[in-house]
Amino acid sequence: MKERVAIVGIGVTGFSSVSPSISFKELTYTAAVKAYHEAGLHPKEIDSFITASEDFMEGYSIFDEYVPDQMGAVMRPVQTVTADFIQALGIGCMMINTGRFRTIAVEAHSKASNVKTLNEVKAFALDPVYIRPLKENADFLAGLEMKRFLEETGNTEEQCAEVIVKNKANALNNPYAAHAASLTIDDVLSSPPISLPLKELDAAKPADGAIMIVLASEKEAKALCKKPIWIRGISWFSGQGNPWCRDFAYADYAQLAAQKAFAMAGIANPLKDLDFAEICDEYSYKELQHLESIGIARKGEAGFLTQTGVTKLGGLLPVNVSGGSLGVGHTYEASGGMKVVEAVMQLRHEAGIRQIPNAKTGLVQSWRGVPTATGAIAILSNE
Amino acid sequence: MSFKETIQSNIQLSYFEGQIPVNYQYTLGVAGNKFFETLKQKGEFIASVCSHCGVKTIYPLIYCEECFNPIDTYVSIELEGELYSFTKCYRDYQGNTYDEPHVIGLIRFDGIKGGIIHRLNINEKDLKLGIRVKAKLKPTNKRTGGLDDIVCFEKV
Ligand SMILES: [Zn+2]
Repeated sequence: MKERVAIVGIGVTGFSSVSPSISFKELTYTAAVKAYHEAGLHPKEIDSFITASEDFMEGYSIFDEYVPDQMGAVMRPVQTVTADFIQALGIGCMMINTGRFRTIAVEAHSKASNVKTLNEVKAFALDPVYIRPLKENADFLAGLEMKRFLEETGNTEEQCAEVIVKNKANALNNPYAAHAASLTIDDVLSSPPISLPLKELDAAKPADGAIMIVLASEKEAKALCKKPIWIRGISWFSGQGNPWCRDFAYADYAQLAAQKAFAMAGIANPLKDLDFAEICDEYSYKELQHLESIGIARKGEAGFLTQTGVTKLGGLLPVNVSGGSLGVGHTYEASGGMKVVEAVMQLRHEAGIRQIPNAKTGLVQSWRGVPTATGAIAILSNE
Repeated sequence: MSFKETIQSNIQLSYFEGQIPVNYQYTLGVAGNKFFETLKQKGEFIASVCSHCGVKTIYPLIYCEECFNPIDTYVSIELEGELYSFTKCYRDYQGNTYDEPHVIGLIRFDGIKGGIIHRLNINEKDLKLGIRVKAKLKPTNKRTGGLDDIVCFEKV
């Protein structure tokens, strides 16, 4: 990167399946107060603000207009991006790289429990001419992809179940997590079908919560913060947009973003150079597919790495120590943010009982979910 | 929490209901119109052909996804292709569950980029990736120029 950019403050509410005692604005406010407190800044000292959100999930069109007050950003420059939090983080980095901004606040939240017709909202994202007339649940696209991925790579449904067991158990160590559980492989394999081979427990369940992160230029970060966490590489890509053109065996967007982010951060051998990875696991097979697409595992070996404990806490490369989306909850555009928060805690060595010893460098990855082929990757480091 | 005051009792919880109808007319465009008109009148699928890089694409486009050159050439292709993937879907778009799953597949056509995602009607024992399948169309007088002009794909 041209000029180094650091995370100098994080604020997170914690996640829950519902949040009836609080509005979405109050969720964000809670995260914002914590982030500004950590950064030692008043919002008036933040140069610009970004929110990652999607109108249909919020229940407002032109949601941008409902964003400023809860962040302390009234009468200030604010933008929303319709993308995952990590993409918003990338925009924040570029703004600081222009030299015109010293500090940027980036926010994302999920109030999925407000959406009474979540299935319809997801189906509405399907192509209206070529897919939506089938009237199937949007999850069918994940089932279609999972089938081809497993057949072509040789990974198995049992290995996908291992991902769920691992991540939900990891979440037992994370006080922020909404969907922690102690499960067996059989629990997963016998869960009801959604779109086979995809089953109920293969899919992350929604959760509510908010995240805010304060970014600062190198000079500002060193003045503000004892443990700045540096963004050493960040990238996002869209792959084959039309689902009927996709490969399914690998995730093109993840491969492309990884190549770019690794080049920026000087990562030559991800398995050796990274101390942990937070990988998008909105569906169990996606963790395996993403690991192979990013180049952490060779094609067909991600399931084996999972089964042999390489990706568990204490393994060679722990994956989703936070619990991932399967354990913490699916938070839509905030999904990447939850993973960034985990990475910052790990790199500050403040992750408590799930701390990875001597963690120096970590990878965070997000995917925008069905029906997209868009995702982002960031490499974070404490040096 | 960073509030001076919080809700302390369930009976204080409240919410507002909100909904709004959203209705659209999605125009098919030049290539989409050509695809569905050909399907309706001739019972054929068409792919677009890029004269610059040679890539053939279904569903057809008026530009090439690979090299971004404009396209004005379309060719009819076989109704038969290969089953690239399939899934047994147990829920509809509203989340209602089916008693019997709907089997949905992605069908690829020889030498053509892309494919068609549609219903399959294939015996369980024959249902495998890589099998040859063929589109079953509605009779000519029942076709309306939309995705449902294809009834399903069946094993060849
Ligand atoms: Zn071309």
